Amino acid sequence: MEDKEQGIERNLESLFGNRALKDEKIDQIWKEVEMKTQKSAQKRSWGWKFVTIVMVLLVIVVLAVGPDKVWAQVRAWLVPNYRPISQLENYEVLPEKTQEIHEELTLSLLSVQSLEDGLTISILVQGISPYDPKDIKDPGSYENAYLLLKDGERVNSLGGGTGIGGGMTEYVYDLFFPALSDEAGSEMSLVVPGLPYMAEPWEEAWVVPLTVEPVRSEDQVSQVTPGAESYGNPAFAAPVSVSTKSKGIRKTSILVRFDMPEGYEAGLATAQWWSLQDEDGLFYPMNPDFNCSMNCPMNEITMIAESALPKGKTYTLTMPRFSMQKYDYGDFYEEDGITYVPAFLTIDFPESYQAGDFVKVDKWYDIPPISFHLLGVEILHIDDEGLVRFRVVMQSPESANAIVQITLCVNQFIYGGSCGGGGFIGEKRPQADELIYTEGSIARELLTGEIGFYIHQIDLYYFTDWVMNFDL
Amino acid sequence: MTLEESSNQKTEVINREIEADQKILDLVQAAKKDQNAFYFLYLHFVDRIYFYILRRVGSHLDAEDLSSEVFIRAMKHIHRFDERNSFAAWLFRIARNLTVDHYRANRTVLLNLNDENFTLAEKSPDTETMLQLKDQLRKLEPDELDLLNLRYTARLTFVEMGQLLGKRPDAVRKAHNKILEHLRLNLE
Repeated sequence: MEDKEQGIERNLESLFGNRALKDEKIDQIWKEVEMKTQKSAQKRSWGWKFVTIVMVLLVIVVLAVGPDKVWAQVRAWLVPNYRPISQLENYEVLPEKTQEIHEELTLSLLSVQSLEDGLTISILVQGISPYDPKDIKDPGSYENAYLLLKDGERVNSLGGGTGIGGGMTEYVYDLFFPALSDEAGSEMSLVVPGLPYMAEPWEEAWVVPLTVEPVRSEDQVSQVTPGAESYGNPAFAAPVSVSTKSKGIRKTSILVRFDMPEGYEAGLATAQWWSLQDEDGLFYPMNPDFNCSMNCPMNEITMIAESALPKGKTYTLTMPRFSMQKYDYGDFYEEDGITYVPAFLTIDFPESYQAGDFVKVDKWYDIPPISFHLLGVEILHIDDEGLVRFRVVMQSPESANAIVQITLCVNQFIYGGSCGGGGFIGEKRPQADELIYTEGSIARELLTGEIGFYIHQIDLYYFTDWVMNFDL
Repeated sequence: MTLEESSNQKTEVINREIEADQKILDLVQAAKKDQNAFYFLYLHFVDRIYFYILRRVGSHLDAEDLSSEVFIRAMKHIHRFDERNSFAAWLFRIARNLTVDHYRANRTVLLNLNDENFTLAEKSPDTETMLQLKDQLRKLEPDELDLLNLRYTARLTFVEMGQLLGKRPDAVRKAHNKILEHLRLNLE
């Protein structure tokens, strides 16, 4: 039986198997994508043109003077206590031969960071063919890099990441390795048999001798110094601790832990508003960390400061926005071949209705920490073929403190994707009595009689005045 | 094949899949930083997206328009993509939603079994069996056909299909096996 099923699978694979799209077609679709995205980009602002010109001039100046020198000088101006790599006592890891021509490319070893949680080696790859969509179709296949320890042991790379530059003639490739034990010693070689985005595979690997001195991570946990209570501050999700981890000279990660309500997870969406400032008033750029693998704790957000934070200072992390989400995919079950989710609410639709009609519900629902008043369903439009566009109308006292979005789905029609998002969008704080809408559309024959809905997702966006101080 | 050989083979397949996922993740991370890098994601997925849509809407012209729309939306919103999930599932969810919208607007069929949309003659040595199989496919429910389309055209794993459909992977696997069993019985 297994053979027969495998036979059917093979036949299905043959039947559904994709023919390759012709290159002309691939180019044609991409042109359409590019054209439409460029059009929308052009609409954004003329100001960008000015910024672009300034940036181009800046790049020319930087290239003329030398990127390393310019970058070092800029950092020396902006970052207190900053010194170039060569002056740091515990981070002398650059080998003598840091740059060479290999396979017609200029390869430079930028940095080596040996930390307790892993070893990262960054390589600057210069001289690849300029970005041409026709020439480069994918990163290509290449053998992964590895470390060759002094005793002959081979340590394979866990993977790599590229920050591909706009011009595509160069990129920085970060190679990740497991943390090295003390027994590994400090003398080793990096062997790079190939790199992504190469037109041809390499004939010979690039081998670089390394001297790796471990740089220890530094963990520090600080208690929250909460700001004053204010309008819109959700106490139930208050930040409770912050811990920082220095990663060599390059980065500091700042982990903020929250006291989240049951079932909710902290969202990264609003972290773009967060800012970090030291006691001298200097701001430090930082970004949310999206790389927390499969097991991101629901009550934590990690931000990465672009440069390591100098010690001996007090820092202030300001979080004027905070978002959290609750997803509920429900317990699906099947009945007569149709997939259902247990209904959260049921609305009785009349047999006949027309655009403009309002099906009254008038019920309160509690989903801690929010509650909302479901007023009813407004029929917006019915087209000639019987497709009904409707919106569920709600009010929530919490919406005055937060932007609330509720995604509702019709539970009998999951296959058709009858989920409707909506709610408050934008950044304006809603009024207490403002209405929350969630729109959907579905065939008329499926929207008569008792229709069950389930809640698929709740998004809460809070305006806060959270401020956390911590010392390093 | 011994048990050990079989186990090694499975490990090899899993390792290859992990490596492929990592490459996609690298591309996604690059595309979040630089829009130009999105092109590599486009090249990686365009064939699968195009044929997945073609088999949903049945017209090359519509498939072309909808495919470009999928990538436009993905490019615009890639910063919202949560890297804990599968990028393929995310991308095909966009494609699937667009085809549902298209279906609503045009009342077209949700899976098109026109001969020209399948590689019937090109690959199959046993044309008669394939014709019978195709007849049986016509008798399936739209959601069953969609499941097969996701599996064999989009080439999604059960985990990815689960993410896309909001179901548990083992539930998707069971549903898939049920369809195969049904087809097998009817082809006997």
